[in-house]
Amino acid sequence: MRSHYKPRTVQGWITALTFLGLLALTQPPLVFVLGNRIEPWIFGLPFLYVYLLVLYAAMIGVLIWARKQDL
Amino acid sequence: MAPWVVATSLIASYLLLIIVLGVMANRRLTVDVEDFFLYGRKARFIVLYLTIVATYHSAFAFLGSSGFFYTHGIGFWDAGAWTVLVGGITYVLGSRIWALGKRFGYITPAEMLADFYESEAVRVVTALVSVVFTILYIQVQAQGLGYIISVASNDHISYELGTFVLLVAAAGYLMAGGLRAVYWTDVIQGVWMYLAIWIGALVLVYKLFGGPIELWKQVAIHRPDLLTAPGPEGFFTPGMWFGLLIVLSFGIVFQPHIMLRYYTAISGNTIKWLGATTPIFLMTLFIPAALVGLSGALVMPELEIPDRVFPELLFQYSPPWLTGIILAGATAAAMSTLDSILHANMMVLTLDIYQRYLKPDATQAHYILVGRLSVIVLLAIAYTLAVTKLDFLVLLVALSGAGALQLMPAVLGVCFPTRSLLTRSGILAGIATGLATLYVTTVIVPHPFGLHAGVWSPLANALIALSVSRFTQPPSAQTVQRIHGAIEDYVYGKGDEGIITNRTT
Repeated sequence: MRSHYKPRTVQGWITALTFLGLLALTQPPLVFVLGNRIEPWIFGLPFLYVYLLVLYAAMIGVLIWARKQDL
Repeated sequence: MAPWVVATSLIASYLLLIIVLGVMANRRLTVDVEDFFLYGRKARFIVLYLTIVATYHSAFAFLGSSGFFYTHGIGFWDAGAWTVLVGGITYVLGSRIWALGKRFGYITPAEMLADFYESEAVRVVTALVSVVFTILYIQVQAQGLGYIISVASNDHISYELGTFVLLVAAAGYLMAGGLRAVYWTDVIQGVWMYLAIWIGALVLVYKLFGGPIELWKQVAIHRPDLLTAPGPEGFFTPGMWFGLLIVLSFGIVFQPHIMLRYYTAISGNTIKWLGATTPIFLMTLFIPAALVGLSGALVMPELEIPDRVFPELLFQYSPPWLTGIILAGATAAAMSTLDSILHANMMVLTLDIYQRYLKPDATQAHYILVGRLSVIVLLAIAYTLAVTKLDFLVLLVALSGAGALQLMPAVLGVCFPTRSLLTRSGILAGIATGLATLYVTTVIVPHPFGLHAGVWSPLANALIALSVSRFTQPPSAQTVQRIHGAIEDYVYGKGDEGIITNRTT
């Protein structure tokens, strides 16, 4: 039986890699390199807070997109 | 009327409401094990959504997370990643667990693992790990409840009495209505806790600072150390940041009270929608928690117990009726987790141990009765744990966070077909190694190289499980084909329809 750890369609690969890539951006070392600062302020909020919020929203977006594509 | 009377009365009103719901659930109950333990596998989206989020978020999310923001700053916003990852795991893994439960009639996680690995030892070990490492969470929730009541009543109601009353209430509606009562009360509790923390946070922030934006500005001026990692006390190091992600996503999902929720869905598509959307609720609950914690850090910087920041702010800066409603929300957060863990342990003890080994051929009504009686035993244990301060309990709670993670290789081996099969010997050796590693990396050499014990233990577990499996007897080809074939058919074949059509129980 073929492995279930690897997606079998292009859409599956794109979805899995996008989700994992976004997750990696929220984790060390990337979050400490790219996001761990106060400035610039965005809409009155510190950078790290907005950086993570945007990534979380994008990850949820990927999950909803996957569901809509019936993956 | 004194503020504590108002606050306590509102919590009492909330308790009355959920007890009424428990009685209503009892009237819908049929004498059927699946109905009592698994809601008849008919849970639809909204009920399942609210029970999952209410169960995931406990007293810790309501009180402890504000305390974390208070002490360590926005490093705790890492929590958002845990919750979104839980959504991803639910989407991919939860739907497969649903499919196997529906197809083969599994009621507990141990049944699924014992069937695939063809091993009674795997069943018993899974049941023991499930009970031992979750019963400690009962203690944590019970302590949270006692604390909330004593704070709300300004110590007019003792911690011990508050804990007892709330435990009895949760156990009462669980015994009356089974999982249906848990789900129905979770609906109320989920909505209540979410509204309560948002309303409470916004009321406080507007009253104290004129709004969230001004709060952030004040934090930047007075406590800029709270706005980056690792925070004032250096807690959110890279190793801790990543370790908490693993422990509080996978570690929560593999606990029996979460896994069994996947069995109860009416369809696999329901589970996938839950995976895609529950992170919205779970993640955004930490936004008001941050506002509360950071507000407290500015206006009450000397709190001895940071977890008290929310109730302390409420009593000082909001009207008593609002404080009561919000503390009832905290009660809801604790009770919704507590009742689910009580239910999961009741189910494991009744079906995996009693039915399997002590009395296999009794009636459905008998097992429901045994389940109800086991809740009384669990209640007694929970109360004892909650009011007893023993050093070894502190140790066990520290170990419990990553305990359920030890089931990860076993569950993945069932739900994700691959050429390298895990074997019963591999699984048992892996769990033993994982638990030993958990003890060493939590107690003897805490978090080696700055990496959380919750990462080391499943890693050691998986390595040993894979290694031993290479040299030991795998499950029979017939069993592998039956179960992995069902997964293959579900994921890449007929989906929900194929599972329901081919149901074998």
